[in-house]
Amino acid sequence: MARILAVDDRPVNLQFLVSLLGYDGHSVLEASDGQEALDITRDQHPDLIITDIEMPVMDGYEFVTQLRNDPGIAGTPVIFYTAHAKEAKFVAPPNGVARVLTKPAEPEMILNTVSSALGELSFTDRQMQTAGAGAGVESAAKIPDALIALQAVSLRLSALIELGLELASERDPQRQLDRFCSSARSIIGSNYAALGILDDEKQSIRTFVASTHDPDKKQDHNIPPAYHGVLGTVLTERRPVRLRNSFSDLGALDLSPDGSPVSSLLCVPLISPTDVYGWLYLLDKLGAEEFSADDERLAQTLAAQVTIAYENVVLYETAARNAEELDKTRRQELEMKDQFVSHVSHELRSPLAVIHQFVTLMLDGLVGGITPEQRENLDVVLKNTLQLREMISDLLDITRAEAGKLLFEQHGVSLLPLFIELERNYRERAAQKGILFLVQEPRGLPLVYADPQRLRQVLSNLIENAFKFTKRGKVTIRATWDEQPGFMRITVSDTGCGISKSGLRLVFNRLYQEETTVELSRKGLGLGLHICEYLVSLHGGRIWAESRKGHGSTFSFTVPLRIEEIRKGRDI
Amino acid sequence: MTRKKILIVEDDQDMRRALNVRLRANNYDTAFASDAIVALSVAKKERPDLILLDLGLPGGDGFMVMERMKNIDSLSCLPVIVVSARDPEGNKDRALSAGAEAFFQKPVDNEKLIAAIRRSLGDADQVLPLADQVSPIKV
Repeated sequence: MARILAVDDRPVNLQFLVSLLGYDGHSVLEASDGQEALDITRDQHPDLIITDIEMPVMDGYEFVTQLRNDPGIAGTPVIFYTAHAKEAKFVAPPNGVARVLTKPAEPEMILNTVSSALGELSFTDRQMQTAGAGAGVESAAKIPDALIALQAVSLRLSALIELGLELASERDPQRQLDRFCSSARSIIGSNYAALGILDDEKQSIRTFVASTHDPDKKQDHNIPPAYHGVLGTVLTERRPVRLRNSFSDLGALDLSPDGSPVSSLLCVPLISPTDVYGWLYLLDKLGAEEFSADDERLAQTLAAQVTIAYENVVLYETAARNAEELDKTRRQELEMKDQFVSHVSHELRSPLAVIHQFVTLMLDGLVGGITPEQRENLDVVLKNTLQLREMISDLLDITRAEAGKLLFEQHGVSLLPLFIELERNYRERAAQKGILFLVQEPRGLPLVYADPQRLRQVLSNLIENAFKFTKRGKVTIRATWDEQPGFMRITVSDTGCGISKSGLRLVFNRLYQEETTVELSRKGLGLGLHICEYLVSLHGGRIWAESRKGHGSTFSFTVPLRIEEIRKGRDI
Repeated sequence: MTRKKILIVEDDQDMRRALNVRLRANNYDTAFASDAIVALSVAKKERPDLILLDLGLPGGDGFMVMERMKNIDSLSCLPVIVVSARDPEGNKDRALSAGAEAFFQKPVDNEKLIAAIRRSLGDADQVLPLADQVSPIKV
């Protein structure tokens, strides 16, 4: 009868419209977006356009605007066929959209609307006229009916799937419930739908959302009591209820939002295996006198979907809250640990300081002469007091670091004086051990961006380790350009006993200690490399170790160049 | 030549004794106070040239002593070197802002401590730079 252009980005929807409109004798053109629709309209001049709103490339609103601006095609009647009917209503008048249909609409309603827009007799009326003409025509009309019904169902299912996906990704419980309620209403097809969520005590309704077919109609937003009439039955017996207006219950229920009489009701509980969350009820089935068994099953499916999605949101919110609590607790604990360790280390240092003073007094000859043997013994005591001091310092460092309170200030630092200082500090020790201590003086190398004290700490640690594990040969410190631009690489190599492959993986772990046969007396806490790793990464560099068991090890770390930091605008 | 006098404010008896031996060996006279309350009166009486101040003291703390000193004419310009078992973090800056010339964490490096004392008293034969790298003159 007429040439109609159907526009929708989902093929299943287009297919449906093509079959349906074709059944009523129209020829149908297809387009997947607004732009394509414009091109076809200009080319083919359809009598009517039925279009979705949400489409890629160009949406329905833009399409209609452009249509009305093109004199050759501006007068073409347009029907919006969309899931978001509420929004469409606001836009429709200025753009001159003839009708708005909500997805998924009954096939008959679509055909009637199309006929009306074309200025023809409605589909229903024509069917009634034809029905009077004889049985033959009736049976011929039945088969396509079944086909239409099947396609209507597939449309509903696709709407269901879409809703499920949307709900699963919605984080806001209020929006989730809103969306669900209006979708339930349009998918099942009723005049009004309302959803209520119970509070934690399961006594009254905490959250209530509603959706009406006609958003302009005045509504009474009184929330019905949770256990009011059949609503109570639904909650306590955890089963759905369907009512027709022939039952007096319906009128007495007084659920109508605008005071008009209610003709049918469908109510389902929102339940999980362990809990009942609330109810969903629909009033006034559209296009029929009552809600069908199919409608009830559909409502239960929808209820199950929203319950799962809602439970997820609640769980998510609880988990997020717990995580926050846990984080706060952990931070408090770290703070307490930091204060405790700080206090304890202070207490430990006092007697240690006394021991240190008295031993040094003797060693410095300030309380009389000492024999070489006595000196040797006192040296051992001194060495151990210094080690104890290191251990206390390490303990404090690592606790500070964990509580996020390690003081750290980077600025331009020259490596040369640092290397010179280290060479001087360890020169004697190297001579005593009979190993060579080589420091490649980094002349001509640029400034690095570091905290000088922490840099010294890292290097001292690495050098200490190198000495600890080397019986003969040499320990070398070197500074070179790193292959990563903007960084200097510093290496400490030794010809000591090396680290096993398994040890290499664990060597930076807290409290890891490699077995040593060299200096059994110098064990330490095992925190040194762990602290080094932390400090190096604070600087923005990285640290790693290479080693061959029996041949020696090389520890390398990178530190950023000052010039790079200036370029990035960080150093003033 | 009269020897300069150093007031040792330290609550640990053993530590006082050890410091006494060391300072005397370095040609300084010594005086003692063992808590924050008597520290100032002892300082007024003994008129030291420098104070070695512990932070953890009974009856207050080293910071309190430094604060009070500022309000006493005869003490307000007296150099103070803090020697403490407390962590430098936080305490060092606070001590230096309160007017201390240096902060040493216990156990101290004796050479560096003596060098700092000499520096504050202007005793050194040469002017020593503030950097830690140079060794002081041994007694």
